[in-house]
Amino acid sequence: MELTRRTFLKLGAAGAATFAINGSLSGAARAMELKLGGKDISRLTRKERQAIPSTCMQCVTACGIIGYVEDDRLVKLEGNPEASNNRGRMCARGQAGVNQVYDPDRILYPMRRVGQRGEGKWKRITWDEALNEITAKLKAVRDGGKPEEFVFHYGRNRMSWILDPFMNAFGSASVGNHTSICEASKFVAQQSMWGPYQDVNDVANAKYILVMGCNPLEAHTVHNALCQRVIDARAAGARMVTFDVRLSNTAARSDRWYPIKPGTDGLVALAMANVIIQNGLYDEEFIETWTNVTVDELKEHLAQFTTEMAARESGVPAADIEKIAVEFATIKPSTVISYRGMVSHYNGMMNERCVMLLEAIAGNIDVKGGRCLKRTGKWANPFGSPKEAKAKIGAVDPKKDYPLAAHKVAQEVLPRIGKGEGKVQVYWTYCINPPYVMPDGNRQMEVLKDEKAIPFHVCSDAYYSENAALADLILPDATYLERYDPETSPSFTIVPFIQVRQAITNPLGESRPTQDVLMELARRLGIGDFLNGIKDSAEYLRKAADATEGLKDVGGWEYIRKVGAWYDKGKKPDYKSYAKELKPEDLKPKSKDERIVVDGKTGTVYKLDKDHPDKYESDKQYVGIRIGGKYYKGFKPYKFPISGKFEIRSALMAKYGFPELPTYIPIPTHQSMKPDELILTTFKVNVHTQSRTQNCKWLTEIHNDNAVWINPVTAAKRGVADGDLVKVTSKVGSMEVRARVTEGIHPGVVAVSFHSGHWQYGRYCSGKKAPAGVGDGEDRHVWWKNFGVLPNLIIPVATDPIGGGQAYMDTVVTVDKTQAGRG
Amino acid sequence: MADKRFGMVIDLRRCHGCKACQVACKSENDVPLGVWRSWVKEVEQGTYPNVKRHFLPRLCNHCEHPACVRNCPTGASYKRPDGVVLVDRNKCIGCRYCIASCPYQSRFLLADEKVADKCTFCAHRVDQGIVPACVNTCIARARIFGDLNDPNSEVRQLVDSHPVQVLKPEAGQSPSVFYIGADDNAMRGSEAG
Amino acid sequence: MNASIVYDVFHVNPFGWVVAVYFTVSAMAAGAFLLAAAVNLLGLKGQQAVGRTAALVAPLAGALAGLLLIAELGRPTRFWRVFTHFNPASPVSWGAFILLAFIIIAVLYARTVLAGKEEGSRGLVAAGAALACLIPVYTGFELVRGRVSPLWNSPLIPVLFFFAAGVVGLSAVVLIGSALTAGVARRLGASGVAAAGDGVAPAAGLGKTIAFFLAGSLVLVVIQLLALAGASTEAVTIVRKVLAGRFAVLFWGGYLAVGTVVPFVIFTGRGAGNRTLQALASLLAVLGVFALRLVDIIGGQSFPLN
Repeated sequence: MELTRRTFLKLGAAGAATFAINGSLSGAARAMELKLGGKDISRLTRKERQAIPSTCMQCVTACGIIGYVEDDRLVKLEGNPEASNNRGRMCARGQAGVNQVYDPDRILYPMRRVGQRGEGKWKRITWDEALNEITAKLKAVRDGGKPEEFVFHYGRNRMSWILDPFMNAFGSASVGNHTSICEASKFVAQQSMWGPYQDVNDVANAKYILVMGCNPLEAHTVHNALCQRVIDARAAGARMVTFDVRLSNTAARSDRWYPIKPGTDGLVALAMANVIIQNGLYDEEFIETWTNVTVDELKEHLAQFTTEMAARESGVPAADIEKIAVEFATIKPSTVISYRGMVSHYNGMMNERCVMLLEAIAGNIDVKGGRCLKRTGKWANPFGSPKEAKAKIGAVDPKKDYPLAAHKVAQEVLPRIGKGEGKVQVYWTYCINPPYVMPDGNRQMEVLKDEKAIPFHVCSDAYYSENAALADLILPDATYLERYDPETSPSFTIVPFIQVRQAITNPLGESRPTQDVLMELARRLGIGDFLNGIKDSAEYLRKAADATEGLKDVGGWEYIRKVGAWYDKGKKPDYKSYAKELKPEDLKPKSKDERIVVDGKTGTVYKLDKDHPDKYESDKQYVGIRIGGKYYKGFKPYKFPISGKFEIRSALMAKYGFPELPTYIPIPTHQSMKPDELILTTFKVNVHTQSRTQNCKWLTEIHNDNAVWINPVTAAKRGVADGDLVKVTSKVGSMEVRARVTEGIHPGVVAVSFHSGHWQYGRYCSGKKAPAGVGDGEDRHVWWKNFGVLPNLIIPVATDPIGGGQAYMDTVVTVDKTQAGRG
Repeated sequence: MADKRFGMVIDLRRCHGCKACQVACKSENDVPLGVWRSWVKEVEQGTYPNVKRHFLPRLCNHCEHPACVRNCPTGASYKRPDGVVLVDRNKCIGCRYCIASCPYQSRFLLADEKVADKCTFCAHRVDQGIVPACVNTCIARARIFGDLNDPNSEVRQLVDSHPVQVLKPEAGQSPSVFYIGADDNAMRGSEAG
Repeated sequence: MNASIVYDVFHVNPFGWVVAVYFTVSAMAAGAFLLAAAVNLLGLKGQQAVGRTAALVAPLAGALAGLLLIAELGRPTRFWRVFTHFNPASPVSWGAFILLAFIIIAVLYARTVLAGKEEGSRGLVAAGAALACLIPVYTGFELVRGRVSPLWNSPLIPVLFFFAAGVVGLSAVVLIGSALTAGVARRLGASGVAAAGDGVAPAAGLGKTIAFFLAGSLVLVVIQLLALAGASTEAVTIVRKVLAGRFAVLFWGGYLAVGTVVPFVIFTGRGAGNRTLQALASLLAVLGVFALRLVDIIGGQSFPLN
């Protein structure tokens, strides 16, 4: 497609928005303007560069990209104009992806530890040696009859297409993740109410955007797509109000910024819900038809959450809460964007339930401009499906302590392994860096160093991370620009799409995609039946593309490898998908073992079969919901067997002794704070992603050192001036960090970004070459000398008892000027 | 028909300071660390809780009357008929008077090549009908590029229909980069805090 | 309302101390030649040795200035490019040709002086003097046109540079003259006048002339600072930096006390006849001008433009 600015302007809602802000553009504008992208020219030779579409992985957003290649070298990345989410644009992180491939500190061959674990002494070995060693270890685990003692712990996993069948075939369900250090409590809340986790704020069509505890203009799941549409909506006149402890760029670009006490956002949402209900501004039809509570029940329950009470707790003036509530309910469409500032608390899961309640009573659920269910594309799977493994060690999924933590409790995996909750023989880490990203990093490190707790640690990484430094064997992973994955992401056009991730360049050195390593191991271990003879990830993707519904009709692999993305061009957004009526055949049993029954009380239509012979206990049994004699798709459960209605009242919560209606849970550690204590929160900046982009020189050049934000009033009380070194002390440790005295933060809070303070991960962010680092990169031009601090080292492990999420934003600290004074 | 005059409009009502342009430029033009052809300045002002942060994307203004070209002794710095101001690396002797004379600090000396360098409006792309890299990647679509001499171009129409601003109009350079909605404090050079 | 820059990139200043040396040395060449020209053209009796010393100092300083200028380029081997292109709008372009022509004439004149035939070369001297006058003008214009900086964009700068040329050019002659051995001094004073002892003894008038240029410089500097003190925010910031900030030691100590007041007192006071004191005063005067150039160049770039 020839995408010029002119044609771009004609595209859909975004185009309309651009017109609106840019005022009276002549309709007769001549089509002469330059192309916006899709093509790149060499600066030196002036020749067109080879273009290969793929998918970004600098964060989880999965933007469509085009890699430009010159002399077999990746020289530039751009957004893919064919990708409907990011529409040809890319953020700073994505632009810096080139740095990931050519990081001089990349690990380019397998290495085996020679000294003590963590000593940093390594020996280069061959892939054959490495694979022989792993195969022998894993065979021993399997032959010992305890496959669950092989623990696979991943972080950013975009390869579940191979990891899941591999682990199932192996027989271990001991798979750790990292969701709970991010948004697990949000996901659990959503699963308890409307089924699937994640949401898509259809802000492109919204007129009123409430941002609560998140920063969509700088960082978000599916950031770029959301960010673009927030800006379009704002340009088209949408209002935006932001609650945040600090002036993020989102807060700065809002009509109003409300600093708020950490952990009270949910209460403010409840108070707004109360205003809406008491003033009759609610969506009666949705509440009465699609939720499992009545307006009267809500009226009674919400009455306790007065704006005065919310004001007292949160610091947001009562009159403002009232005003925003009325605006939210009357300036339609409206929606709330909420994320880690809302859920990364002790009460995080409940806070998100409060927001979901607010969205529901305002009639925003899955409507145009509201909070929508996610639409993701579906790839065919040319692999077989090994039987799901069930055996797992308690440490990776402590259901006994956190019965509803459906996304596990990543921050407790290593501490629990350290305490002996399940024996481990092989611990394999992939794309995760526990000492750096998890709370109480020192404790995480202790366990990683403990050879009794973890006898054998395999690490797949392209970089010498703090975690890789504590491994026994390092397998050099390919970067995301050198590998293959089927991709999709929640669609902001509300029309699902799929994208391809394909190698733009060949893996550097001896690096090899972990996907291919797992396939090779499956063959070596004799558990490779599920591979169906597929050799490697490239072949998997070719076969998957050629078998994928819709894509195969336009050319399958040949289409997507050239275009990069596919979606059904004829499909329109299907808002209110829950209200779709079921077809008669949907209600018929699929086999003679099955029976379809309806729960007389809830209306849930579900099937009974040999796995579930007598009651509704699994989301897999769900068929639909009967309302007023009609059968609808309803809110399809995921993991939790909810009714199919939007569950404001949760039987699931009640079952485990948690409040069944959305309510306010004060954070225990905040109730007994001394006058000089402050709350430490952390945040992301717009040029970094968690821990994994600091080796990118272009990003670290922008953000290398970090400083703790402190309000001038708070600073003055401690005799702290801008730039002074201060000591921030929590119950698990302290750190010395520069103070940034700014009016843009709540006086009771100090905030620091969490992308700095690496002590490994290469020269650009730690000042240290990796053991296998090669060349001098651009060392001669590196001008920054400070690498900042890592707040995670002083943040204790603190888990939301319901959602399982790590409460990163709750840490109580003291802040004092250091002896050294000015830094 | 009159010559083209390329120019840019940066709509600060849309910019949110993401710095994608800043990194895209490093990548597209292989700009070393420590020097920038394109960057985004941020200014904070106000008193808690009424605080604002402003963003000001910066690049060479490709002035109509460029001081750098006037001061260049060798003709290495030159302005093309389409208004793009460039440096011929083969002619540059590294005397740095162009760097000193630019009122916008848009120029720098390359540490390895020892010649002056700056934003080229991605002339290598523009010459083949593609917008500069910063415009291509701008998430906010805050950057609009085109021919100021074309009455139908979007940049021309924006300049004509909006109260646009340029940096340091008093410097008499007649920049080809226009801002919509720029904050005075962000545009001022003062380091007074 | 307080505004603070929370993110910006840094810019390496294009000019450093080498440029200050170049400005000082080129001024020295110009000043020395003008002295030589004055002696020659005005036929100053009793100053022939001084004039000859000056005639030798001028080409040496001029050549040194040229070499500094080339060495200071990013690409010194390409220096010839300034001569294959002429940009009438560029002070550097003018300057290159002026300096080259000056060096050639200064060398030719030095040869005639060494050959003892300087009396027959008045045309050459006149041309050299004209070029010498242009040197402080074009170097001044390099600053005036150099950057949007309150310290630089003043029409007083070329005049100030002219006075500086007077200070350093004459001081250099005094200094070098006093260091010459008796033999060389005798040769320079071949016509038999003013060669005495083991050096070239300047007439007292020379010291007084330097004192005049020192005072003139100071007046111009004061005028400039007074003018700036009430101007833009940037100008006020810079004046504050010069008088009380980063550059205060260089300005008060280096330029004013050591480089202006002390030599002025020596040249105008009772020590005027003492050759050692005169040499010392000359050295200090040169250093004073250099200190002021450092303040001008580094101070003038010491604030961000945007």
